[in-house]
Amino acid sequence: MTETVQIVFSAETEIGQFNDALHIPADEYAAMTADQIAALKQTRVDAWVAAVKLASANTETIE
Amino acid sequence: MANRFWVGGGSSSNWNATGNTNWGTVSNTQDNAAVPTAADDVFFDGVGTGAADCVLSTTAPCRSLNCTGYANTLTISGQALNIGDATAGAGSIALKFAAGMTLTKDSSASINLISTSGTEQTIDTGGKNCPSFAVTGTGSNYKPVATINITGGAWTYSASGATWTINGQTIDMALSNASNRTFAGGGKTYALLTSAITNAVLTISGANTFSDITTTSNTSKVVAVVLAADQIVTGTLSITGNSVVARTHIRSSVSGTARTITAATVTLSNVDLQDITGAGAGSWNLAAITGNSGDCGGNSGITFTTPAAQASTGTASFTWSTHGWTSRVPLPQDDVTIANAFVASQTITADMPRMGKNITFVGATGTPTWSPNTDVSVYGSWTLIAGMAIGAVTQNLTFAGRGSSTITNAGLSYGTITPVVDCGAGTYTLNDAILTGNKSINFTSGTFTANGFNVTAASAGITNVATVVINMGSGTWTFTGSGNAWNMNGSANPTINADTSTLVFSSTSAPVFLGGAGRSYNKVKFTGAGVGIATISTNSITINELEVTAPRPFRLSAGITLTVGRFVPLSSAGNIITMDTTGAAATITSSFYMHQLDYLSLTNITAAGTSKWYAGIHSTNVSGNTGWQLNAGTTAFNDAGKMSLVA
Repeated sequence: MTETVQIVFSAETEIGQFNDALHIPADEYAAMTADQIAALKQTRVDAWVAAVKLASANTETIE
Repeated sequence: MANRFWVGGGSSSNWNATGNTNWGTVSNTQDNAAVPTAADDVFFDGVGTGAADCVLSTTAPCRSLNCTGYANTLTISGQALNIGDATAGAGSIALKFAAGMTLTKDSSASINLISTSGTEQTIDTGGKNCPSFAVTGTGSNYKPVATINITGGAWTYSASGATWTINGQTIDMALSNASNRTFAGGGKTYALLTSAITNAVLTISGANTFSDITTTSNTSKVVAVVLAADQIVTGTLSITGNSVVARTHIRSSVSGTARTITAATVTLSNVDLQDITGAGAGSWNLAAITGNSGDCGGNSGITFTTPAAQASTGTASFTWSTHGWTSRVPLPQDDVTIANAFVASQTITADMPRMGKNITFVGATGTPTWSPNTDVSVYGSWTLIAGMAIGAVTQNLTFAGRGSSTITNAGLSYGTITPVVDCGAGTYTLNDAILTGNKSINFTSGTFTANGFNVTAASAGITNVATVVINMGSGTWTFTGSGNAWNMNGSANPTINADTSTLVFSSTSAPVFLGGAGRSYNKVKFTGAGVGIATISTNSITINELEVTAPRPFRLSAGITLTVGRFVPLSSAGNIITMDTTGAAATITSSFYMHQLDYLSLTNITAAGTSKWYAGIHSTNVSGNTGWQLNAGTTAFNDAGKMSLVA
């Protein structure tokens, strides 16, 4: 079983607070820099903001 | 009461044709008798002009229907035949189809036995494949004298104070082509219930007693026998799944609510069981039955096939049911590891509805795509990785594990897949944020703990069939859809622990918050750039802080009372918020010491509670508002230094 490291993070965005976590295999984590981890976090944040904006503009009505 | 003979000669071949009718007062006599009423005994004897086809073109009553001698076609597609009144049919026959006749029906046709006579009446189907049957007559007394074949139909027995004598007759309700049907036995005693199930679900309701139950299935992977109550089988319970990959799912109708099957003999193969208690003299040791036995949780009194961890192999795409796993296609109790070193652009097709227990993709490389082609369930933890994708398919992914399980989403969006939490007494805890595309996240049973992470979906569907507990945590719950974006209307059971969460409705269209009466929420925000009306439709909910962003109109359903800690309308000059109701006045009440609002347009809003409600000098008092701080009906400043409504 591959061990993973959980990195919990939170970010304030224009659409609200985003709380998430990274799960990185332990061997990969050991080789990563702080900037690389920060970049992964930012990718998650950006993806969430984009996803919410896109879906919020969808006017399909929920039954 | 009278006799009515089908004699033909009517203006059409319809049962209810008039001018002329097809009915005679005696056999083979076209005397234009009236169309039968519920007091009439009806005969199709096939004599002379009576040898004519008949079409039931509308719901038709009669006291009894006797087709002895009839060799033509009776069509009752899409219609109901209501048989019975307060007296027994002629010769104590309620229904008799002739072996030589043709009976044409469809899936919406029905024969309703509604007699209230206590005299025993017989049901003789003549071996015909009949429409759905419903026995509803209070105090009725029926006895079948032939097999009741209702292929594709349903059986409903709901007669109270009635006598039912099964007389050793089989009820055959084979199902096909996704026509799910219910055998609602009404708690009566039956002989053999047999069903050849093709791509469908058979539900048995009522705490019934059978001499035997026998089902078989085709190669469909979604065949299920669902129990809505305990069942007793005095003979043999025989449920035969088709193969190790086309397994019959025997389960309770409610996750977490066990159903007991008491059987003298148990003969099962290729089955998975969920929320079933095995009882009776039969052996419930299913460890080594043909095709093994799947344990979906919630079972007792049953010995299942020993779990065996399954791992996938290879570098290429594979399909769940045909892959060469460690030792077998995973059973619901088997842990599943997919850690292959895939080459690029490979797809894992999940075609088994019950994929396994703890399922992990940790260790996989090559960015494979997991793509279900049917609704699928996982019976333990679910662990995705960032280096994979989810197929753009429209299916449900149900988290069905009992005990404590986790969900790790790794930043992936479920896209068009609908996550469903339906885990009975189990608990699912997020290990990170969860995100769907334009689909709902549904809570059907069990406990869901957000664990501080975000939840994002088009909507939330929360049912009250079983116990549901939602621990919202400290994260942001964002619902992007319009319409019932949080849908807990009428749900008495679910428990909402709002914690310190923020619930955001972000649709630019018109989101509706059906919060469930009596529930409390922490922060609720209606954001979004559009001007669709945001609506709170549920009475008696409490929101610690309610925020509405202009220019979004804000509406309360007529007559409801909304309790808020603070109401925060984010309005400004040129950017007002219209606040009204769907009709009559609604109340917003608060104990916060003072609400200093402005730039509102108010209609039928009652401000209440110990809070002082100042609407502001730039607000418009349209009509029907009460409880707001007014200064003698003028626009002058009030004592609190705030302008009041324009009266």
